Amino acid sequence: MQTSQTSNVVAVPGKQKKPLKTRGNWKRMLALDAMLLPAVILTLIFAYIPMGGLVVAFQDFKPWLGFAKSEWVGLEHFQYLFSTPEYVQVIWNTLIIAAMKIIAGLIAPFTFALLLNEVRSSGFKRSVQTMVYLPHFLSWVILGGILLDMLSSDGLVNQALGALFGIDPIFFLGDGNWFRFVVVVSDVWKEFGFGAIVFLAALSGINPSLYEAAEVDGANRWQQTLSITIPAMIPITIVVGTLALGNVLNAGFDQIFNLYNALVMDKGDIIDTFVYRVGIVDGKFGFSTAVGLFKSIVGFVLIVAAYRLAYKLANYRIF
Amino acid sequence: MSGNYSYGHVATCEISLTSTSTMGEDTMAFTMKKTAASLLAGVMLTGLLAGCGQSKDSGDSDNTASSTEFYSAKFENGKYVEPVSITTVFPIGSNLKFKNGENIENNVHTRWAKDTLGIDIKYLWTVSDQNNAYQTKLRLMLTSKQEMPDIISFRGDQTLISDLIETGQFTDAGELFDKYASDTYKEAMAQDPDVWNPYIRDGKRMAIPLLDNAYNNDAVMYIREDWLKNVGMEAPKTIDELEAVMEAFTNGDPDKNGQKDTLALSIGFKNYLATWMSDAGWIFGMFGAMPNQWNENANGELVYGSIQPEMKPALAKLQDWMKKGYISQEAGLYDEVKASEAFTAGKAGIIVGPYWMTGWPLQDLKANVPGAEYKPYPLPAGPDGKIGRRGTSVNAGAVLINKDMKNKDAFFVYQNYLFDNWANPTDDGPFTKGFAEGYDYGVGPNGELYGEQDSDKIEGGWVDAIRYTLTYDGAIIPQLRINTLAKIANGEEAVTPYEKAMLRTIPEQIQAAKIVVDQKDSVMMNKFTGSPTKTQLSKGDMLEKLEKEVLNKIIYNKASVDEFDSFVEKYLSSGGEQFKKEVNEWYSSIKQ
Repeated sequence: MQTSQTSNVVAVPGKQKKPLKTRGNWKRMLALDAMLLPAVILTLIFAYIPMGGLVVAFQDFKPWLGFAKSEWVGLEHFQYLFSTPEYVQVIWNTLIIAAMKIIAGLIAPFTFALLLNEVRSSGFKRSVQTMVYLPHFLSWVILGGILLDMLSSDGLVNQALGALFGIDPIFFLGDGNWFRFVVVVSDVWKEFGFGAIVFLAALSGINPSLYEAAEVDGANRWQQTLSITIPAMIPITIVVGTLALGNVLNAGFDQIFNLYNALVMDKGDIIDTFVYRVGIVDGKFGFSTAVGLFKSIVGFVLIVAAYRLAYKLANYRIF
Repeated sequence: MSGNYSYGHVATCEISLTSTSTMGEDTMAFTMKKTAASLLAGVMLTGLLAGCGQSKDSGDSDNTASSTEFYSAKFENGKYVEPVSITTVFPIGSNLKFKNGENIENNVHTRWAKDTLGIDIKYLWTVSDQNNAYQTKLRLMLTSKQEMPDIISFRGDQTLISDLIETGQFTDAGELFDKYASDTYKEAMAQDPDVWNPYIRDGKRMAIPLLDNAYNNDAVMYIREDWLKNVGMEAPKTIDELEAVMEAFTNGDPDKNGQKDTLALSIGFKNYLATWMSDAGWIFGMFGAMPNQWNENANGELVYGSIQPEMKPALAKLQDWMKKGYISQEAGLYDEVKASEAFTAGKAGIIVGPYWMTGWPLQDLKANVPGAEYKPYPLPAGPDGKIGRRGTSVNAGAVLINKDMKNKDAFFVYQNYLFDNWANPTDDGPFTKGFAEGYDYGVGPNGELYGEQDSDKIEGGWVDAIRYTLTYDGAIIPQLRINTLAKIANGEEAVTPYEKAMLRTIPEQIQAAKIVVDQKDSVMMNKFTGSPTKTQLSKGDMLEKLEKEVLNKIIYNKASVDEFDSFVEKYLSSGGEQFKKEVNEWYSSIKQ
């Protein structure tokens, strides 16, 4: 189960397992397995058993008839989903917004962590870190309201742009292209501080003797960054990227739902907001479950593919 | 007063519901939530433990026996001799407060029901009603085939009521109503003949509507009185006068601060053009249209307001107003409450909304802008003298009665008593001062009456005990409130306890109520109140999205008004035609 190569510079914690003696150890194993049991049971109850509800995706589900008696419609919901241009547009919107978020959400914390790592004063470093990850804890309901004010035609942002560059007010939340931009930038702003924690942890795990050796060899800060810091961060970057890929069809319901409006529907409506309206507001459970199932399958395939890739390219394994 | 805030509650609930339901990063969490929960509750609990005990036909023998007598149990002096029971379920809303260590199962209301009427109210379950928890729990009860309580009262989502009726677990409530309801109750119900419509199935009235105050969300126009004085104008009566006032409010510096920082009109149509506050529906009403609802045309047919040709000139007006800066560029981004902020912050001169806006949020205006004055005015007339406003239904929800309920008359005994004594109390009735002393009123040492304002003088604080009732508000006679207010506005003397209580209303609110009543001929009601049709379910979201997108683009001048015609064509061809057919099938099934 384990790889013999441990040539990686950074050791991901918990990676190196000691070979277990199979004999005489079963008692200890039993205790450990027993400790695992509650988690396994909970996962079974709350993650696996409810998957049975997915049959709804193939039914014209009526709550009062239940699973057993609702009419079976096969793939009708899926056919409908892909044959209607509006829905295909929704899928595209989701992909575009999510892809931009994933890329920007990887670059921003990575760069930030690198920069913060170069700061010498630890007090400054800590206070900056705390400040940038605070927005992560704000809900989009609140942030949505703040953004609505800040980005209005006479709001802070437009006033600043007007005063500094003489630009006419931009209708940020009422223009489809600007809307996508706002969604991505505000999401990155909210999450990059929190995302940087992982990278900072990886940075602190780099063996200081490497830098000492590099200094002896006459490498300057920039060369050290290129040859030691960045290579050491590649594995964790791949991990973060891999996990993020599973979210490629999650463009962020809370955020979009609180910001979107009829003017940006054509570019801003995503699968989740769509499912909310159809499934919860209109009560079409079968159809919305079908859309959800489609989303899950795509997410699952992508995670598996990315995981394979990560193994091939970076020799990274989670299990 | 608190009834007025209900819309605010609905709005916040919706937001918080959605934010919590997507907290998990799990890609499936969103759509799985409901199915997961129902499967769990259904399969795991009922299925395994209760062993599928659906066929519960045990109690019918004593039901039939009572047909000879009027009441199902011995009844003397307005009271059951041996207490009969009503089982129910109940949401504990945030406006529900308890005192003296009471709870919903045991409080002044349950004791009253038992002592006065001989009715023992039992709650199968109650739930703190946040994030639509009551609705969710009812849905779970539905999917998991739990035993239904004797009565369910529910306010909100129409489809849930439809689904509950669909189970076949509930009885023909209309028949019972005709037999047991008192005259006051029947008269109150008759004030709006359409009120039963949503609950009619095959000609049977399957649920009893919960009545709300009539015209509760019907619009009046509020104008800043001091701005009118500053620009030297009168309140507008026609659309031309209105445009002149709007021009002055936008460019004539009505707030005298030397800056061009004012808006004429505050509307917010993120949700709907015709809506409950910061409304724009009346603009369409001036041209004889009313979007977002089904209106009856000259042929007695129902037609969807948003696609009628009368929309075009109104849309052109809105487009023009947006260009001229009369309305905010953010109008399409703001919901009803957000849009009202421009008015309460003293940045907009006109807002249209219900008469109770005077209590909230317009109360904020005086705090934000010292010396600000506003007054309610009638809605102005369009080019042909038309005035139209969005009508609001008096139907707030419904009560369903279980067909297996043992003493079905008990609910009516209960409700009759409240209609006869609470809805419009008499001078010597049991509820003249309030529901219960020490709860929603107190009496001082010299006989003075303490109300909500004197909460500190009532031991343990003022508590609105009527909210404990099975129907949430006790009993409401729809037109009583607004008519009483109008009467007071006309200077008539307050005689009954109800009228005296209404005297304490804010003066602006009394005026606004009078205007609402004066303009009642301009009401345009949504005539389609049935459960969602087949096409609505399959294409509804797409059609609504199409409508919103195109209408918004026209108002924002991103599309010309002429695109309205191609929109109507597209709307009809992508399901609108079929939708209309289904709606009219429903309508003719109701009208017979």
